Amino acid sequence: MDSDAGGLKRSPSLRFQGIAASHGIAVGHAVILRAPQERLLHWRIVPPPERPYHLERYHHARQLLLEAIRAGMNLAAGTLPDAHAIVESYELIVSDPAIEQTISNRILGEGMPAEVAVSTAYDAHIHALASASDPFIRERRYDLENIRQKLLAALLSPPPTTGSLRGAIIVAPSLLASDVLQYYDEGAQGIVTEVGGISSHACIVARTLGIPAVIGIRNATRLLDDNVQLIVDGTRGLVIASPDETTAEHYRALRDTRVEHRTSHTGIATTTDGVAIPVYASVDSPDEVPNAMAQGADGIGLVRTELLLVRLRHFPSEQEQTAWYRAIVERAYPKPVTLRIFDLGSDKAIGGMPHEPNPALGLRGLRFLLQRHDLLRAQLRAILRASVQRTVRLLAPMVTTAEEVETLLSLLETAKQELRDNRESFDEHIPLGIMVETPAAALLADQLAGHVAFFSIGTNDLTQYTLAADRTSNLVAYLFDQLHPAVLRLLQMIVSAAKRRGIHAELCGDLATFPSATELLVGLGISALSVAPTSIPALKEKISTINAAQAEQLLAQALAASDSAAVRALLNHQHSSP
Amino acid sequence: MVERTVVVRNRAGLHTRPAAMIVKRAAQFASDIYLESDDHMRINAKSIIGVMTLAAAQGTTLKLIVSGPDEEQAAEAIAELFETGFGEPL
Repeated sequence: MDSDAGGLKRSPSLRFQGIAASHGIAVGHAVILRAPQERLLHWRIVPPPERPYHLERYHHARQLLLEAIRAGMNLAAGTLPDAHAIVESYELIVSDPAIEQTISNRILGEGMPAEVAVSTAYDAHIHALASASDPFIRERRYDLENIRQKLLAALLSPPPTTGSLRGAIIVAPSLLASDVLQYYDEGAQGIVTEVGGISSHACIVARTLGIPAVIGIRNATRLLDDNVQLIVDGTRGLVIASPDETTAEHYRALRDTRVEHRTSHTGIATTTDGVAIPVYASVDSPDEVPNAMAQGADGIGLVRTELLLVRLRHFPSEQEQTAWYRAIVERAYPKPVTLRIFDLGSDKAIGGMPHEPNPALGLRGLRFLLQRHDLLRAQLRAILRASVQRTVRLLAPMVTTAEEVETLLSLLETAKQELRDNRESFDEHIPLGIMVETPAAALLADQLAGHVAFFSIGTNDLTQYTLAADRTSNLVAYLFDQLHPAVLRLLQMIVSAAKRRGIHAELCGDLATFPSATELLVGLGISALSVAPTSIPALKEKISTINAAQAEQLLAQALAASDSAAVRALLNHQHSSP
Repeated sequence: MVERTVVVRNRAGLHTRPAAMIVKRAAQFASDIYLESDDHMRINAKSIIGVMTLAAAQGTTLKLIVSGPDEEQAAEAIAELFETGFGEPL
C-alpha cells in the first residue's frame, strides 16, 4: 500500500479503517496539515486570494522572533559587549529589508506558502555564505541557519490553515484541543488524524462540538492529497477518499437525515435482539434540559450540582438549590432525573477547604460532605423537595466504603424527618445510588450493592485510579485509556455484582460517548448510559445496530486481551467486517 | 549619485559586527546605498545579510554607490567606517 501512494490516489474509492472518535458523518474536501518537514517538501502554489494571508503569517512569525530577540538583548545588555553585538546582529538579520523583499516576492508573486518562501530565501543566502573563501565569514551562515529555524518553528506551530476552512475535513498527524476549536471556528466539518487517543482532549472537544472524527489512520497526511473529496464516518471509524458519486450521495443523504433525526428520536433504543438501553443526558443546568429532551434523552442521568457554585460564584443557599433542582425536574418531567450531590474537592474548592498536594486522592466528593453535615443536609432537603413527583434519584460521588453509604443513608433519613416535621412533601422512597469510580468500590461492588438502589459508573475517575494515571497530566496521557483491559475487568465486576443483587448499573463516564466502545458496553449488560445531549441521537442509532448476544462474545475476547492496543485491534476488526 | 572606493582594512574582514555597523549607519540615511565587489556583485548596504554575503576579507576593494537626497553625507559616513577599520585591529 505504502509503496504506491500515487496509484492509490487515483483509484476511485479508497477506504481507510481507523478508530471512531466522534459520532456523525462529514463529507468535504481534505485540508492536509503536514508535519513541518513534510510541508516544506510537498507544497502547492497558493491561489492569489490566499497569498496575503501567507504574507501576514510571515510578518507575524517575524514579529514574534523580533520580540524574543529584543528580550534577549535586554538580558545581554551590560554583560558581555560581544554578546550584545551578536544579539543585535540577529535583530538586523530578522528585519533585513532585502530578505523581506525576497520573501514577499516569493509569497505574493510566486505563490509560495510562507514557510517555503522563508526557507528558500534563507537557504540562498546560507549557500552564498558557505562558499565564501574566508573561514570566518563561512561561519556566519550558522547565524542565518539559526534564525531560519526559529522563523520556521514560529510558522509551523500550530499547523497553519488557509484562512477559511468552510466545508473542509482536517487531516493532521495529531491535533491539540485548541487546534480543534480553531478549525471548528474556521468552518471545518470533520477531522482525521494519524495518531491520538479517543480520550484525548482533542477528541473530547470534537465530541462536544459534534464534529465527526476518525483517528489512528496511519500516514493519512501522506496518502491523502489536498482538496480530495473525503467522507468521514465518525460512527464506524471509516474514511473514504475520492468516493464515487453514488457513495458520496449516499453519505450526504445519511448526514442530512442524521441532522433531522436530532429532533425526532423518541423512544428507548433497543438492540437488534431486543435489549432496551435507555440513553440519558448528563447536564449541568436547567438551561440544557430542553435541548437534551429534543435530542431524545430518556431522562437526565447526571446533574453535576457543583456546577451551580460555579454559575452563582457563591455557595448556593437551600432556597437557591431547591429552585434550581425543581427547574431541572420540571423541564424533564415525566422523565427521571438523577441529581448528584456536590462533588467538591480541593481542586473544586470552596472557601476554607485545605489545599492538598494530591486532590484526586484527597478530601473530595462524599468524603468532604460527610465532614460538613450542615451543607449535606441542606442539599438533601433541597433535593427531596424537588422529588415530589417521584421522578428524582439521588447519587453520591466518590464512595470507597460501605460505612460512608450507611452514614449518608442515616443523614438522608434525618433530612426526611426535618421535612416531615415541616409538613413538606417529598418522595419517601427516593432511590439512592452511588458513583462507582474507585477500584475499592468496584472490588466491593457486591457488598455496596446491598445498600443502594443503583450504581452509576464514572469511567473517567475509575480509569485514573485503576491505571494510577492522572487524567490532567499530559505526561501520562498515553496511559490514560478507558479501554484498558484492567478497566474493562473492573466494569465487568461492577455490572455482574449489580445483576446478582438485582440493581441497575449505569454508566455516565466519557467511555459512553466513544462510538467504538458502545458494543463493549452493551456486551457488559450495562442498564443505561448517560452522555452529553449532542451525543444522544448517534448513540441511540448505534445501539439499534448492535446484537447483544454478539456483543457479549466481543466483550469476552476484549477481557482476555493483554493491553489496550489488543482491545482496539479487536474493535477495529469488528468494525471493518461486514 | 556619489561613487567612492573603499577598502576593508580591519584584519577580520566584514564579519558580523562590522556588517552590523554598516547597516545601522546606512539606515540613518534616506539615500539608496550599495556596495559592489570586483565581480560586480552589488548589494544593499542596509541589508546585513547582503553585506555578510559579500564575504569581504581584509584587503578587499569595494565600490560604494550612494544615490539620494543625503548622498554626500551618507557616502562620507560609510567610507569613514571602512577607513577606521570599524574600530577593530588593522
